[in-house]
Amino acid sequence: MFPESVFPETVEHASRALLLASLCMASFACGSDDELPPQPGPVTQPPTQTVASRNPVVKFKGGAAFAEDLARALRLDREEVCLELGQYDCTGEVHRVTLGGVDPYEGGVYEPLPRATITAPIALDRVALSACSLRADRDFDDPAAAAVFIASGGGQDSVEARTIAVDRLYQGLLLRIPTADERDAVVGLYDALSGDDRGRRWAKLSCFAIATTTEAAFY
Amino acid sequence: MKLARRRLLQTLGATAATGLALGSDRAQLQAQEPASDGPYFLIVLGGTGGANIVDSLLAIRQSECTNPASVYCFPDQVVSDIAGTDFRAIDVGFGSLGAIPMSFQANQSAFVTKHGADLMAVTHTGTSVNHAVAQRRAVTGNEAWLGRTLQEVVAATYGESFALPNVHLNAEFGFAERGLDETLPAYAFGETVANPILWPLALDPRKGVVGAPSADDLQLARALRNDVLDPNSQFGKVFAQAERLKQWRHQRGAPQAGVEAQNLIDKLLLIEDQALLAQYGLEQADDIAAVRQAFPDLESDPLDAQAALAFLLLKNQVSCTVTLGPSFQATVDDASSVDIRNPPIAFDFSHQDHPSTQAFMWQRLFRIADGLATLLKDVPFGAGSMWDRTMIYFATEFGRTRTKPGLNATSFGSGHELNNGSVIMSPLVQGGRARGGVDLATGFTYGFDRQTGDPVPGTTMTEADIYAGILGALKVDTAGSGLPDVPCMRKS
Repeated sequence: MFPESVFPETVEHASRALLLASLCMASFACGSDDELPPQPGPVTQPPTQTVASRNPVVKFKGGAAFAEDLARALRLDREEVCLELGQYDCTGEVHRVTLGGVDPYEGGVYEPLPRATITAPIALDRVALSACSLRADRDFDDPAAAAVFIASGGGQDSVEARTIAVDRLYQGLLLRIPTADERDAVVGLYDALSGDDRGRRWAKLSCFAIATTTEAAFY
Repeated sequence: MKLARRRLLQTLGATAATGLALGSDRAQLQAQEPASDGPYFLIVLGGTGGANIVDSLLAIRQSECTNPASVYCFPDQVVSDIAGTDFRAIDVGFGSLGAIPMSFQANQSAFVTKHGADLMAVTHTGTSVNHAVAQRRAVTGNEAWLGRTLQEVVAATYGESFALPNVHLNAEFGFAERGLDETLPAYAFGETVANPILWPLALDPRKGVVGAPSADDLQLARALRNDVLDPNSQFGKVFAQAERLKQWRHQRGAPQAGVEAQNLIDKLLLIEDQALLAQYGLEQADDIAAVRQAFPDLESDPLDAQAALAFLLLKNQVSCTVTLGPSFQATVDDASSVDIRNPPIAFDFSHQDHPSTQAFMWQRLFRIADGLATLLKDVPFGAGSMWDRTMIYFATEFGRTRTKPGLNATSFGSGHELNNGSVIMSPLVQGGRARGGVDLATGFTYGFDRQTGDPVPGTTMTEADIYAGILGALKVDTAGSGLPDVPCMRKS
């Protein structure tokens, strides 16, 4: 979903490594160690070194696209992602202008606000929390039809089930697999919870944490 | 960035505690007595489309007008002198509002009599007859002080401890534009509210959300996101210095904690259906009965809704300045096909019919100002009330042309005119006084002596004069600004 320009340096770095490795393997004529990767074997992961952008410009995704992405990732109907008081669409009506939309006909807002307002991150959290809570409750209430939080063994109380769920959330919400550290961190959130119903609570919170990262809200 | 589980838990716990403490500090600050002499509160009530001062407090009679057949003036019998003030008021009925077949009675004298001691009229001549440009100049004094708007100056001066110091309740117009001075603190810039009835739902991340986790659980998830996932992701690292992300991260810190700590969602909700709110664990604002009495049309008239929320924002000291005003959009009462609440293009409907539009719209602004002042007088503040510290500035774009097609003409259009004046309503100004006057031969206003307030025919005041006078009355320190001193506008 994100354009390549989001990760220009990283993509360029990975592509160059892949290209060089391929050339080496094809020609068996690699040059000196100074110029080429030392081990031109199979490349399974891009390099992890990240270079800060020299032109760090990002744009807010906006409430409408955010809600569409939530619906797709969490397998919800767009209309049920977030309804305030059960009837007012969050991103289409209530928080529309706050989340970067326009309201020309009723509000006279013809252009998106030039900067995010103080309430914008709160509204975004609210939208994500609504969608994540709905998804988790559905999956826990009807495990046979679960879409994201699929019970296996001890449900989300098992590390394995949580690991699978985290991978699903990352792939659905961010269109990538999590790094091992990210996976561990989100799976480990469970251990910070105390009290009852930890699995269901973890499901909502892990979904919320990933869905409201800046990576999910900006491009 | 590998984090051991124990380390992660420690991070989450520490961050959650920090976040909660931030909110507590902010709430504590909010509850303190205001520092020094502040705060003072500014309400900008926009006269969208051109509120013409000679259609209200500075009206002139036919009998005193040198050229009553061609200069805009009123039949003597509809003009009242308001005792104890320099003001006049127009009480007149119309059989239609322009081409709109609805009769109405405009009565200014009740309002001017009730609030005359707090009213001041100041004359000025603007620099643009473009709606958006003129609106902006009405709140920046034509960029008189580094392009700062009046609202931004007031918010920067008094708003540090407020959750949302500067709120714009009508996003459509230039009265709510952002100023130019980016050196002001971030909290000074306006928060835009597009829908006053539903917007308070954006003040809490979880209350009213079906199935939402507890606040403590949410705090843990936010800590994971803010302190672990975001800064360590490739996206976060590559774009760590992006301005938008830096602003977003800032807003997720103390400003957000300040808003959420006050449970504003239950203090500001105007939704009428209590049963519906209760179903979602929400409550109406405490003052809803009084607010509805003052602004009974808040469900059907956006201006009433803006005013209702404006009062609650001030009363709960969420904001120290609010901006509201009629929209350019027509508002029609659903119950009647001809009952117009707001004519198309507001005051600018004067193009079609000046006398009825001005009368209708002034009545509309006066009703809102009366409601706000009445409510604020009932809110204790120190030894007095909040009203003692509040100013309503009837900001306007420009005046209207002063010609009319014949002595007895009662229905005709007008154009945009730089010459005008503004109404200011506050116990902080020289109440009951008009600063400047009206030339009886032309209908145009003339200026006044900044020190004494004495009228000075042949002169005009600038947008910067009014801007400076307003800030002076609100006790804002303008030293070094280069603004003129206008002591005649403030109460000594």
